[in-house]
Amino acid sequence: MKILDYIKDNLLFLDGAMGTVLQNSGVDPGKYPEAMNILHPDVVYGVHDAYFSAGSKLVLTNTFGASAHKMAGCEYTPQQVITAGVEIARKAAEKYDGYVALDIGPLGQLLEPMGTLTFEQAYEDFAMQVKAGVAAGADLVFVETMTDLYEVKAAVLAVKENCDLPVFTTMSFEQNMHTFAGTSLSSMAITLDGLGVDALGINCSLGPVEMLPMAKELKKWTDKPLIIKPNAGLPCLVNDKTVYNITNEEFTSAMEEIMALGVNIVGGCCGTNPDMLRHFFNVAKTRHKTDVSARQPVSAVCSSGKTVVIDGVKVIGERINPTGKALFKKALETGDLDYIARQAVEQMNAGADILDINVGHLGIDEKEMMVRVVKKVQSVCNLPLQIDSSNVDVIEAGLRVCNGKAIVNSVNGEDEKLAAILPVVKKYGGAVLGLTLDENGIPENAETRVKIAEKILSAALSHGISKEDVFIDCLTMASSAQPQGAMETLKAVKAVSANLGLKTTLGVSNISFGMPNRPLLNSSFMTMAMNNGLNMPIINPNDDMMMDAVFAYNQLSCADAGGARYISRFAHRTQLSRQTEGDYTVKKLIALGLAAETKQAVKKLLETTPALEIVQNYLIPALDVVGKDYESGKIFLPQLMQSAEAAKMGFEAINRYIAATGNTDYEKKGPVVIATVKGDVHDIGKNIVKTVMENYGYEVIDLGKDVSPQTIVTKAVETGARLVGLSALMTTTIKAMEETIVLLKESGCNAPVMVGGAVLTEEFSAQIGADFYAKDAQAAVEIARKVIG
Amino acid sequence: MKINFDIDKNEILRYCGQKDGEVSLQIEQLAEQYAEKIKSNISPRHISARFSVSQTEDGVMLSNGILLKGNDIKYHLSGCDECYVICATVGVQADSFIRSSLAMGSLYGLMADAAATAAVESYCDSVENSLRRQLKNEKLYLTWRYSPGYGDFPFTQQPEILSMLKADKLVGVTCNDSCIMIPSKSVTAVMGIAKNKPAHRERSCDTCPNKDNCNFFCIQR
Repeated sequence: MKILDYIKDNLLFLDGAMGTVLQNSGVDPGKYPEAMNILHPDVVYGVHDAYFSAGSKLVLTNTFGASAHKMAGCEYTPQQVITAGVEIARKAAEKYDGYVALDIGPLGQLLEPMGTLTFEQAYEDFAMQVKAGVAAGADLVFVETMTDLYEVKAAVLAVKENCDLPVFTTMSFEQNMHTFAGTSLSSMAITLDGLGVDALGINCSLGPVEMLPMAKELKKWTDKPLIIKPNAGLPCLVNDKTVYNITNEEFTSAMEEIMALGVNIVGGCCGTNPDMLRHFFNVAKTRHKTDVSARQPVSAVCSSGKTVVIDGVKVIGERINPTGKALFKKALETGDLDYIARQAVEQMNAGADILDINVGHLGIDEKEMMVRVVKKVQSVCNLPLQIDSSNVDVIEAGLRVCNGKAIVNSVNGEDEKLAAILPVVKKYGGAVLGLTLDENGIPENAETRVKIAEKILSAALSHGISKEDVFIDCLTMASSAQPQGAMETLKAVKAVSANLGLKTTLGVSNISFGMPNRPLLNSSFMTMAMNNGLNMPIINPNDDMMMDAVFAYNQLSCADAGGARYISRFAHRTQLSRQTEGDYTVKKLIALGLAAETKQAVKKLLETTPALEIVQNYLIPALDVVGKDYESGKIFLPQLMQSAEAAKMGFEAINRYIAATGNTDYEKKGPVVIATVKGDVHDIGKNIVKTVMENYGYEVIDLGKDVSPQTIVTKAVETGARLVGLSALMTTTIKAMEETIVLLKESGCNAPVMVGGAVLTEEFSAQIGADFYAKDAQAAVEIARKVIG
Repeated sequence: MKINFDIDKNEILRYCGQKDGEVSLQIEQLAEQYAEKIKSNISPRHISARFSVSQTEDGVMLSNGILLKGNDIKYHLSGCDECYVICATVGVQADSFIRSSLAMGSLYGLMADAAATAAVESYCDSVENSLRRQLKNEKLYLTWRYSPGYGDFPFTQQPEILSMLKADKLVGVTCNDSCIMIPSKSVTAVMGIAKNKPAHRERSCDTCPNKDNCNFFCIQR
């Protein structure tokens, strides 16, 4: 019987700890416990056999750490220990008619953005393990003890795309109901359910008592079979030994409570042993499989740490989109992801619940850009995402690297669109937004739009996408062009919401196109739409009037329990006291570090003064004054940076003006290539240098942190860098800095190299071959003036 | 063990590079904001283990066979029969918070980074004090936190220390090939346990090996 057939009618008893039992076997497992599959197969067999004889129906192979990274330095390859591991378990399983699961643990390297391992590389590493395990004859794949949802996603995709075997997954949670990496129970359940795993749950880290409330929480979010595989109580460290101290009776009685919830796949993790499980299974085997009680399905999307349930009105931020935005287009053309990251954080801080991501722009590789932007945005913000493109390849690429459950924007009533996009939505477990238009365009009347919505719903259902994951956009028409349009849209929203029971979205601001006082029409229309069942307005969250209307609606419609969110939004809306009385000059505003005011003042100056003159006569002199005050110790770094941020806003006004008018009397100097060297992950100092240098008119190409010597050399040569800046904060990474300098000099790149960072000194910099030592950002500017002018 | 700790805006300013002198009202308000914001962006946890120690030629040998290398750690643990080795962290949430603040501008990144540093240091102070109180019951004294990278105690021992504390599994702290810890706002430290009050080993700038090259003035504030 296949494992999935078995669990339909039976409880499934898993095994317990491998490591704990191996350690007690008398043979030292050493640095590579998986090598025991080859060195001491009899010992490993003994562990499997003991668990089967204790009542386990399924054992996990001794391959938890069989990843390329963890096995580096071992005389056996991951494939070798996996093959041997599966064979040993297979042999033991035959005797008991049991199942063998290929065990896959964390890779041992953290994924981006916490670490530096890319999602794609993680996928490759897992795929290698999966292929080896499948070839050796495993019955299923068991991905376990994970703390990062992103890593789990890479593993699950590696299983699904490289074999037909079922996949079970469990993650390790702390008592705060989150993993170390910040994944929440709901996000795990929603994401993995969507990805189509065959069972999911929790293992390790905690004992069964602590897992009980977590099992309850999980049941709210998924109907998948649940797995609970706890430690033998909470681990504690006595000297350097990890000790677990739960009795067999305590373990069994806590597990009984968990099973009563309808958890049918159970076993043990660290600290458990065949004795403990025998005790537990002897009691548990008298039970019958209890089916999961019906839960109320909800519409929800998530990032790794944040779940957004679509109850009340939730805001989708629309700002990550180049349409009509000169600076955004420029950022896409130059690959300036920092600009886009700021748009994301601004919207998050303004109260957006979900962020739409659209990077469609002529002349760029949209697919590659979508991947980069999704990764960048989720590195700075924890909101769920909406992948927005008309190209199915771009959608798939975005969904693939999204850490969580995303919305796809969009499909419509065209058969071709539905057939192309819905399978991708299903594969990655997303929600889908359907526009009520088709081959014949946008229907004028509400009835036809509702018909299209019905068609989209039935197509989604036929692809296995649930009703809760279908959102409908009834389309906003400009009221200046179609005076009846607003009412028809509202009628359609009401029908889709009330009759079809689907969640709805609307891009709101189109309503006021071509009319005076657009904000008034926008917020009035949105309020009317919310009252007709609009769940997710797609708006600019930085627009206070619109956000205020959403908060007010949620308060009045009781979606905001007790008005807590409303109250906290307005109770603290007191402006910080600012020293802005009087009419300050740009210079004074920069000295005071007033960013918004500086931007306004520069905008005003641009009406009368050429850009170049503003830079030369206002911005740079202001920065020089602040720089001198910093040098002399009159002000310190925070204030220097505050002025730099203010000046940056002034420059942004100028850049926007140049991008919009094509005026080029002001050109940047450089370029200067900067990076934090390989192995080093500190980037605050480097970013400060970037901000200050850009303010002085230098074009700074920032390669980021942990950058290999070769990448720095390639970029420096490719861009014709006039100056290269390297940052390293630790003694351990100075070596990488030295290697980079050597490679730069060898490559024939004749740009001088300046270096900086906490552990460097003038003398040390000279020793490693740097041309300049910059003790701070101001010093870097002086060096650039010397080298470039 | 529940550990309570505060985050002081003045500490944030100090980690930002603010020295004595006038602080602008806006910078002060910003530091206050970040002292508040960081609280909802951390998930503090720690692990501590107690070892008996013996001095060797090259350093200090722990009872689990790990040698802590260097003369400075020998000096730090002189007169101690035992030590505590701890690892404390405020979690990856703090790193996410720093990244999102940095996205809004270097100033905000600087503030968030300083706030997270202030948080982990304050948390460590509380952990240290709580261990000190426990030892008081045994009539024992505790020296202060000495970490890899101080003096000639090699930074490269970080992986060994994390591994012996099972820090990866128990508190979620790992390190990369350059021995940099992830989450970045994490601390490992060794504290001596002595029968007599270790008066000569008060923490001070004078005894700090980085005293000539320091921006922070950690002690004499």
